[in-house]
Formats: sequence, structure tokens, C-alpha cells
Amino acid sequence: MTVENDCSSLEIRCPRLGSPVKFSYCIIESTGQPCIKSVSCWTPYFDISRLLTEKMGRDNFEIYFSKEPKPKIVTLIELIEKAREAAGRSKSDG
Amino acid sequence: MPVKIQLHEDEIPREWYNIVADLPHPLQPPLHPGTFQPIAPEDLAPVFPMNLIEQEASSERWIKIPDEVLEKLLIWRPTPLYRAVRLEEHLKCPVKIYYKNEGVSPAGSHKPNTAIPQAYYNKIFGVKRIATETGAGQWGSALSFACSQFGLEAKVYMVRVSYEQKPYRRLMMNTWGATCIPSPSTETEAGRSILAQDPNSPGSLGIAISEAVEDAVTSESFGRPLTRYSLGSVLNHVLLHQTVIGLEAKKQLEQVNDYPDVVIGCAGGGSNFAGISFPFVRDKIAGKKIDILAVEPLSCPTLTKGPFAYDFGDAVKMTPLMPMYTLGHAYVPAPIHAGGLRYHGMAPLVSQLVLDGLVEARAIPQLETFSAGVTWARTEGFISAPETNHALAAVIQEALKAKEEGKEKTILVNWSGHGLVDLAAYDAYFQGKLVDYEMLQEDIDCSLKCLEDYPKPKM
Repeated sequence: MTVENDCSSLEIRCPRLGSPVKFSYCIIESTGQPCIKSVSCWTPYFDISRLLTEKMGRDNFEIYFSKEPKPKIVTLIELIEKAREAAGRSKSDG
Repeated sequence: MPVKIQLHEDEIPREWYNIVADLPHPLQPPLHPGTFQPIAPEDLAPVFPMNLIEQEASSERWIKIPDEVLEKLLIWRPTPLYRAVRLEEHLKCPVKIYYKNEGVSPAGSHKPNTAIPQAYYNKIFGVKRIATETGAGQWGSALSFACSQFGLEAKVYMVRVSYEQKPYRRLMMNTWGATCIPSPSTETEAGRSILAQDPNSPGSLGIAISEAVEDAVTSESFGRPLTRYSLGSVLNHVLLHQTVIGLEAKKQLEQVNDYPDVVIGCAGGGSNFAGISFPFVRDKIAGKKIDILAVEPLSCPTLTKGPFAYDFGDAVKMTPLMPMYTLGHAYVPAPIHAGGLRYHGMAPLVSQLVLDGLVEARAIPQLETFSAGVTWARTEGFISAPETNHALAAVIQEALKAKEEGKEKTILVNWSGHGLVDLAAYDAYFQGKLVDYEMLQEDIDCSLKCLEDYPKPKM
């Protein structure tokens, strides 16, 4: 089976969001990096590993996709700090 | 043979089971990213009430469920345990299949099991308002329902791409009195900074979490009612609250003198899996022979025919997926596939159980999961949430395996939610959009266009 020659047809169900997303959504997040699940999600459809290796460089690709995730609690602590900084900036601006 | 095994209201569990007390290898405490010291309760105080932080850190085996929480849980609990007799007849395998129906909650999933206690603990701590993020809305709707039960305000930051695609859960949130806005929004610094770069940003869970946390942390300084943040999965206290599922199931199976050989739950962040399985993991730690499967999505090539080819086995083993890569390339770094569940988004408690060999992680591709969901709907009648379909696919795999091995087995699965607001996903399946295919070179070239300006990550 093939797909239409149209990028807009490339949609899968995002396991994180629980709704369909396009390839372009997965490949670059607000951090400027691909979604950490992009390789496992898109591999059935094409050789995304090769594409990302070419784009990111092999070393960066390996480092990025094999890194251990931060515990959620640690992420929350970081977000608390960011929020405090943001609040401080808003107050000084306002 | 009863199809539904019910508990009376006075048989609802009075305590949650905390598996931390029984872990063979204790979890390492997460370290503060600034001090590299173990995170202290006060570090989390800006986002959680102290009573929930105490639960998060607790190692007490049993934690009393407050009467006020039980009173709300009784709206839909105890949930029925069903015998899937029609699926058994359809499969013609030597198995008994039981499923815990968590789709009967007001929000249609297991999520209110923790939303209710979280809202309660916030309420008694003096919190007036709870902020959270949601993807497609399952958690957001559960928390909205819970907040309405306790007279709390709820503010839900819903990832914009889902907000625009999935109006029904948003409308559920609104109906329960919550405010649901698309993320990124103009209401937080985090949202504004993203919109300044890209006014059409579709959002992401990461951005939505940032907004919800900022909302909570800055509430007092900006004159909003006292606000805290709430999370629907991953954390210890969330998994703790879900154990009512497995505790009820044990009592219900006792009624029919049965006990499972296999317990199955789907595992996104781990909460519904924990809910059905942790009370049985306790038995396994004590020596009971039982298989416990955490099923996660796998979107990898399905080039082997056998249904068990997708089994990751031990989380630290790397090879099972490798033979699947035959799409013309030879290189996939092994660490990416080193055991699925221990990677991104999974609860540390579940990951630890996988590493300890108490839980088996299994990954199933989406096509197989929808096929299982359709089989389920056409036998048992209920239309499952797409996440739940992962567990159902594993049930079918286990049933076929039992037939192949000539063994009689009892299977228990958590039917974690209905799919009545996810019918678009079924539509995509029926239209063939989810069929696995190998892309043509022209398709790849087309996809590559969105990579042209791809920035190299800074390491």
C-alpha cells in the first residue's frame, strides 16, 4: 500500500496526545528538537532513523534518542523555577 | 456462570495499596537539579498540597481512603468485573477472560479514581483552584468532574492541536464548570514566549505542562485564588489511588473462586496498569506464580508474522526489535529500543518492576490494537478507548498462546475506558489510514521537505 504523494496525508495517532498528528508535528517541537518518540512512532512508515541521522549527525542522534528521561518530579522542579523566573520578569516589566 | 461480578457498596476498598512498601529494590530518590540533593517536600510545595506530597513519599503499605473520597467514588464504584464470555466463544481458546470495567465512571475512564482524591486533598489543604494540562482531554475531563464535586475551580491547558480536533472532551470539561483553553495561550509567560516565536504553534504537552505549572506557581503573586497543579499519571500518589481497581478485582475473583494466571493493562504513563496490577504484583513478590503484562504502543515494522514477535521481554535486553528493520536501512541505534517502558513518560514504579522482572513489558503495533478493539466491540459490545485496545490485543495474544501451548489460563484485563469520544480514530482505521505501509521514495522526499531547515540539536 502506498500513500498519496502529499505530506498532509502523513498522519498517525500520537500516543502522548491521544489524537492524530502530522509528521511535521513530531519532527520539531518547541524545543527545536524532534519528539523523543518520533523514531518509534514513524519507523513503520519509513526510515526515519536514517533521515534524522543525516540531519542531526550520527553522534547527536545517538545521544539524543538514547538519553535517559528525567524523572517527572525533576521536570516539575525545573518548571517551578522557570515559572518563578517568569513571574519575576513579568512583575519587573509590569 | 455470572457475566457481571458485582461488589456491594460496603465492600469498596477502604485503603489504597502502596507498592513502595514491598519493592524488592527501593526506588532511588530523585535528585534536585540545582542542589543534587534528594528532593525535599518543600521543593514541591508550590505545585502540590503537602498532604499529597506526603503520599508521594510514603512507604506505608496501606493508606486509608478518607470517607469524603469514598463517598464520591461510590458514584460509580465498585466497578463491575465482567466475564468476557462472548470473546471467549469467539476465540475458542482454553481461557477465562475477566475484565474490570472502568469505563463506567462519569468521565468514562479510570482517571477519576485519582482525580477525586487529588481534588479532595487540595480542598482540605485550602486550595481553591487546580490547574492542569491535557492532551486529548481524558485527564482534563476527569479532573474537571472531580473539581466540580468538591467546589473547586479547574483550569485546563489543552494542547492546541487536540483542542481543535477534539471538541467533545473540551465540552465535557465546560459542562463540569471547568475553563479549558488551548495551549500555548496568552495567559502565561511560557505560552506567550512560544506564541511570539510562532503564533500558529500547535502546542505540545511540554508547553501545556509549563503553562499549568506556571499558573499554579504564580497564582498568589498575581492575585488569583490559591492554585495548585495536578497530574493524572506517572507519580507515586497517582498510581496509589488507582489500586482500588485491582483490590476490587481480587475480591470479585474470590467470589467466583478464581485467580488470574495473567494480568494485563495498557501502560502509557502507567496509572491504569498500576491500578489493576499492583495488588497482584504484591502476590507475585510473595511467591505467587503470575504473569503481569504492561502493554505499550509499538509503531515498528511488523515483518515477522508471529504475534509474540513484538515482545520486549526484559527491559534491559535490546535485540528483539532489531530483526524488524528491513526497510532498506541497517542502522538503528540499539539503545533506542532498549526496553520501551523504562523510557520517556513511564512511571518510575512501573519501570522499576520491569527491571526487577516482576512485570513484562510488551509492545503492540497500532494496527493490531485496533483490530482487537473491533473484535472486542463485535463480541463484548463495548467500544474501547484506543489506549485500552493495546491491552485487549495482548489478551488475544495470550489466549492464542494458551491454545498453542494447550494450557488453560485465566486472564484479567483492565478495560480502562470507553472510546465514544475517540470514534475518529476508529474511522481512520476503517478507512485504511492506519494500515501499515512502506512509503515510496517520493513520499519520503515529500516528508523530507519539512526537515530542510531542521536545526541541529545543541548538546
